[in-house]
Amino acid sequence: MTILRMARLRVGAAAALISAPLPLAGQDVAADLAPGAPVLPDWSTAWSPLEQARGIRWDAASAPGRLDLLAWPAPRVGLLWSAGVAAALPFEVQEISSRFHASAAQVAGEYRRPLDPPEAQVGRVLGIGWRPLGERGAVVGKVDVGREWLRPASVALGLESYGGTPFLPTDTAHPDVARTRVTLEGAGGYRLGDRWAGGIALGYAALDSRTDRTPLPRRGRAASSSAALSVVRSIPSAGIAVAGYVRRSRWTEQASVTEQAARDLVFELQGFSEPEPVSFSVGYSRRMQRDEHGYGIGMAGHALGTAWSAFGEFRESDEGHSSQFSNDPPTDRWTVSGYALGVAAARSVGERVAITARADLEQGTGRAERHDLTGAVFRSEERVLDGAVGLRLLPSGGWAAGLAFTFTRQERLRRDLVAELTADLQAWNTGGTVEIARVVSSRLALSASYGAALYGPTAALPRPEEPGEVFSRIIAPELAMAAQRGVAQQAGVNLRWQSGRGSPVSIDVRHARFAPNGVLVPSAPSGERSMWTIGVGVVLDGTRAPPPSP
Amino acid sequence: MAPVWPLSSGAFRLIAVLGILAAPAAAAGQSRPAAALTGRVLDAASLEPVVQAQVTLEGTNLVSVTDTAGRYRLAPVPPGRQVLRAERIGYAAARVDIVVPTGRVSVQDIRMARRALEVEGITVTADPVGRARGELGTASVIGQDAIRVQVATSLAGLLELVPGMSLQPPGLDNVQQVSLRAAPTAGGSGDLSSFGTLIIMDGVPLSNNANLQTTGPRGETAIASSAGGGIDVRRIPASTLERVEVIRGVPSARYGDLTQGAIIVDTRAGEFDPELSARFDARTSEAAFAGGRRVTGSHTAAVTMDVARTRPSSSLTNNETYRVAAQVSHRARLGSIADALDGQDARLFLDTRIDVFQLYSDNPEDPVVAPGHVSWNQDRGIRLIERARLALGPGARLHVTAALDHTRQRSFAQAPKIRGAMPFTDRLTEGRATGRYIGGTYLAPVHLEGDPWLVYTRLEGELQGDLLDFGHEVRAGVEWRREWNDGSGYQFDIEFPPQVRFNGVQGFDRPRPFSAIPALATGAFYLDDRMSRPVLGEGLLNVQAGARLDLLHDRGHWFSGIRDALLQPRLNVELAPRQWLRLRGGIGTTAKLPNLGQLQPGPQYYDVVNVNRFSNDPAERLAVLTTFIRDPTNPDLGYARANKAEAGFELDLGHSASVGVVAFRDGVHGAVGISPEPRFLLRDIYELTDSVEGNGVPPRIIEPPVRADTVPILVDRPANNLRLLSEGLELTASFPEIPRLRTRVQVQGAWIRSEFHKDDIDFGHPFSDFQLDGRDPRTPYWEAITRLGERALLTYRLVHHQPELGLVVTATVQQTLKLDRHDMGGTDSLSWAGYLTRDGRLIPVPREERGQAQYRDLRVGRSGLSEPRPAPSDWFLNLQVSKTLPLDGRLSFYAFNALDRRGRFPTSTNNGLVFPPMRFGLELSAPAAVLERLVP
Repeated sequence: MTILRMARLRVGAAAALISAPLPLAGQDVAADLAPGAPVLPDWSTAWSPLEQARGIRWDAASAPGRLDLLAWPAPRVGLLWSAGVAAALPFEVQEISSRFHASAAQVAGEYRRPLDPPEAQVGRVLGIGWRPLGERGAVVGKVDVGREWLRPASVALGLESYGGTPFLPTDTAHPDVARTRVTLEGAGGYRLGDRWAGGIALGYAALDSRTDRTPLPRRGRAASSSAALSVVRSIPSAGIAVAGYVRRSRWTEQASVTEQAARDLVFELQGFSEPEPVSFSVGYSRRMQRDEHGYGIGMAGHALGTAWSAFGEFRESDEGHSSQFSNDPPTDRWTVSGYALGVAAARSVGERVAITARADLEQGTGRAERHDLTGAVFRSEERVLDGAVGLRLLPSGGWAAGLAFTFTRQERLRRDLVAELTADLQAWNTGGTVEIARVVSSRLALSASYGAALYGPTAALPRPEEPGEVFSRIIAPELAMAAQRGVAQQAGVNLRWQSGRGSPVSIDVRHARFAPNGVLVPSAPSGERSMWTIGVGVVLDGTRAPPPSP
Repeated sequence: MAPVWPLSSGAFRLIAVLGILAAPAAAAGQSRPAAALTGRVLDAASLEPVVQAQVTLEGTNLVSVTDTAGRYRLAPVPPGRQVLRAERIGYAAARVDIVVPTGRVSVQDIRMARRALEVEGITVTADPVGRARGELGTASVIGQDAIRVQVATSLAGLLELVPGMSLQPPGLDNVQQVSLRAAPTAGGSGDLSSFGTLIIMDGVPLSNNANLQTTGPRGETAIASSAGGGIDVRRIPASTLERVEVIRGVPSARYGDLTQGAIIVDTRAGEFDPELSARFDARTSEAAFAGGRRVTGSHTAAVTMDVARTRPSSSLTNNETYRVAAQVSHRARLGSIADALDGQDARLFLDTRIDVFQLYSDNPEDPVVAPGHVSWNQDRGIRLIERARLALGPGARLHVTAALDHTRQRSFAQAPKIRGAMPFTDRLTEGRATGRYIGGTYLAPVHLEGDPWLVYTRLEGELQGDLLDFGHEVRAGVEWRREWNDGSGYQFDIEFPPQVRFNGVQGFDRPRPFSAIPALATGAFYLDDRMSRPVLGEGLLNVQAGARLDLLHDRGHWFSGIRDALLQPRLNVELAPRQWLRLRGGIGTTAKLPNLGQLQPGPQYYDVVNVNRFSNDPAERLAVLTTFIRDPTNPDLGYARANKAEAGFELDLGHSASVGVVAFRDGVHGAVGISPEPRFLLRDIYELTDSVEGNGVPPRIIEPPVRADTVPILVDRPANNLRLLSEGLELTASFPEIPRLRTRVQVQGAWIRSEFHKDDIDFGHPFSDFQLDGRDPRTPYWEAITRLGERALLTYRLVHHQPELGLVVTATVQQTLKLDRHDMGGTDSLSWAGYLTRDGRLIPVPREERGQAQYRDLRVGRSGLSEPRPAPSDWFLNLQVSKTLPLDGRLSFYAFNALDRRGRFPTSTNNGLVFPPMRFGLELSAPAAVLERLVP
């Protein structure tokens, strides 16, 4: 999955006056929808080794995120906050900050891809904090606990339905599924003398997925681990710091279905080819494992009153899928290699205006091999150019405002060499968002935001009915939806209450919606997809978002 | 084939004995040490003195309470490596490793933090070179810090901190039994070693001797039970424990009824901050509360409670196990007396405990997947313990312990049975009867109702003083225990027996009340002396010598005759020629009682079919059966004996780093197994009156019988016929903390090789055919096979601790270097040892004659033996992260097999080593006072 997303997150972090966009699709509900988007701005998790290890993913559409004027301080730019280099922690973290947030979200609607769950509820508790440690060190950590209910789930057995891989196990049942996931991440940096610093970032995530008393019980589990080592050299004479880093990660997932009181048909999707039902007795299991590594360099500095950062990274991943429980099972492989480049800058204009800009480019080339065939069976070329420009008007007279413009250019060329079918997709997703905050009293502040984006694709796709029934049922609607023009919108309000010297508590409510626009592409779904989120957050200690002065 | 041992028994004992003998020689001409320890206890944050903190020296009875300046003083302190511990309500316990020089006053300040994870030097693993209180044998000590951080639902989870124990995910899924110093084999060595592992909770043994929850060797209905093995430790919640000492070496003479080792468990009692905790993962939920407070000046009361539930496969079945456990305790210190060791001691110290628990496993019917299959097990127990310590004078004490332990065990299993028509009799006495035919499909419910009881009493005197230049701590005591089971027993509808494998001889089970089984009464006397004196300048010699006499009475009370007695000498020696070196050795004998089911086995029924006339018309059928009853009781059954020896060394490398290596050899002899005793029955053969098909009446037998033939049988008689020999090496190494990384590494491991042998013969599969075929004059028998198990485990723990953040990250890697289970025994057609005749005679045949033509019918191969196919080395990782939270809470995340490694599947060339799948969960704990802060 989305190698490119990694860079987008990094550079996006640099960008961002806005928090992450809101894709409204995906079986990977928590990652896509949940609460991460509205809770944490990208820059606060740029260091996350798990986020960095995520691969390229096609975002069918997304509404620009909220600016979070009341919840978060102005976004930061630097090797840590933009390029995610842990070794930069002692240089870029001087204060103590810790935050907790609990949220609930609901996603529903018919405008979805076939492997997206029709309806999902998500509950999530999240904590993040950073602080200096001793005289030379600094640390940052994040814990994220979520519970999801897919009511019902889609026919996808695996967790990642729309990553880059063409290998996807599916079946014919739609049971209710409950999932629990926990993510722990931490990073520490330590200064070695005045100019050098070393850093390490570690991340671990685990997921358990299961049905409850259905004729076709499904069980799944996944574990993801990631580690990154980095080093930073400060060059005061040039006003810059340079960094180098390496990263390794591993993802394992096992999904199974048991024919307890009904018969099931399992199909292993292998690109655009029409799969045969898998022959199994009572139980079917699929194990997936992906090893990813990357290495890169980064640079950051100040020039002409502007903080800037840039990085370049090369990364590769190797993914194996197998269905046999043996020591060296026949394995289908999906390998991706690519790179990411990104730049970000932030500048203050006067005392009241902050401008942030970013742009990043990700590219990946994928190749799939099946265990029963020789040579490549599927190839993919993907490229994403992502950028944003944000403007924040700092508080004055009880008012504050923010404005952001975003653009994403996605290109995806996927060729099935067995079925001899090609899908060629390009899309622009452009939009903007605005947020206005009002300080009502010394205790109470309110904000409201609105954003919209237009998704405009061009595509050359296989005929939906050409390969067979499974293709027309599962793959063709996905491609058609990617080729369908659409509009995404989001609106939200945020209330912050601070009692005396106590910790400020915020409550936010948000609604997002995505719907097709114009003539419906054949095989594309109709209707709309929407999400409601409500959350409660608290800043427990340390520095807080600067309150707009009344 | 004889097993090959890297160290012969004689050589091993020689090493141990030489070590023991050499030590006193080195000790001549020295005087007893007299060191003192003093210092201040300070608040880690404010550096203000902490008053009324209790400071103790682990492994001793030394205790001091800080004054208004936070000062304490302990004297006289044994020199060498010691562990200083400070406790104070409102603070996390603090623990400091120190080296006490001989004859000097040492100063050691202690800093206490309010939150455990913020304490410097927190210990989250077992003390690698710790000692159980009053013991010199090799032990692992698991303190409160480690218990609080370890992810454990029961005691079994804590024992993963002991070298050689495999890591298991938390939960209550299956019966959990503990085996020390034994590698699993394909036979029953696991049950045997767990049965021989003594567990003492709050000073009183937990006994499984009267657990009869089994359908016996012939039973076809499986009951999930720990009967015949060790205690099911699921009943002991880890959350309620204060301290666990695992004595792997030679225990002192105070401990009896064991062959493998002893686990000393102390539950939380006294005065401590109330705490709530909860744990959740996909299978197990658990909540616990513990709190203790001072009621009056000299009285404290504490309550612990734990509720846990496990659903092993919630998506597939509704099976679940839940546990409720609670304890109420009361401690009183009455009067005071000057004490030579403690400075000031209570004249009378009373400790009262009331434990209750319920463990319930429910496997309800799934009408779609498995209609008719239902089972559940319910154990409810109550335990009353009173311990008193009376200080008689300086260094003299009297300890009295009395306990009553009752468990109400109820098991139910039901399964649909399908069988063809077969002759049947329900006679409960010997004799011939006209039977009937049963068969078809029916539900066969089985009830097992047991009510084991244990009455336990110990009277012990303790005297401390100097004699012959040695400091002595002498303990002498007497123990009485009586165990019985008054449950209604093994019950089912005799018309629908839970068996379908009737072969025409082996009878159906009959219901059996447990209450008719006589009680088991035992007594013991012991004397133990722990001696110490300085040697070689600053060196120290410790010797612990003692003997124990166990008596097994032949009826159910202590005044009846002696059925068996065993004297068990024990000796441990520790020589520390330098403060950084300890040489140790131990040798001794221990003994284990047979259990009640082995001493009083149920009668065995044989229903021999005399007439089997089955007509289509039920009215014309005739079945005549003769019932024989054989009593398998073995009047010679007695104690199993274990000869234990160990030798090792410990190096103190400074900065809390240490290395310890112990080699051990344990030999259990005469453990109880089932001996198939060949006998024969006489079967009468009758002629029948003329019978015409369709006349509607059955035929009748014509008396007298025309002849008789013999039917060979095997009576399953308990006998002291099992041997379990285990030897191995245990390693514990704790490396110093890397200060900048705040990280330290601990390695522990064990290589254990076990040999499980039955001193008996084996009839193999041909016996059943031989039994039924009267034309077959004989069947071969073999010497019983020897089962071997070998396991080498290394466990690495990387502990990263940031007191400033209140963060502890523990990564535990367990690497299985070797895992092998195989059997030794002949499999070729000449491997048999002799033959059995139809009249039950065993005729041995010398090996050189077995190829003769007259034995052609006996030359059959032997199957079912496992070949040596070690599993390849593999590893998996457990991860745990604990972090303090606001409001003094703590959040822990744990992932078992965090990377979801699968291990290796069994193949035709290798045994498998398949790891349990990845599981993860969260644990949240907070002081109970947080409720007051959250809810005004």
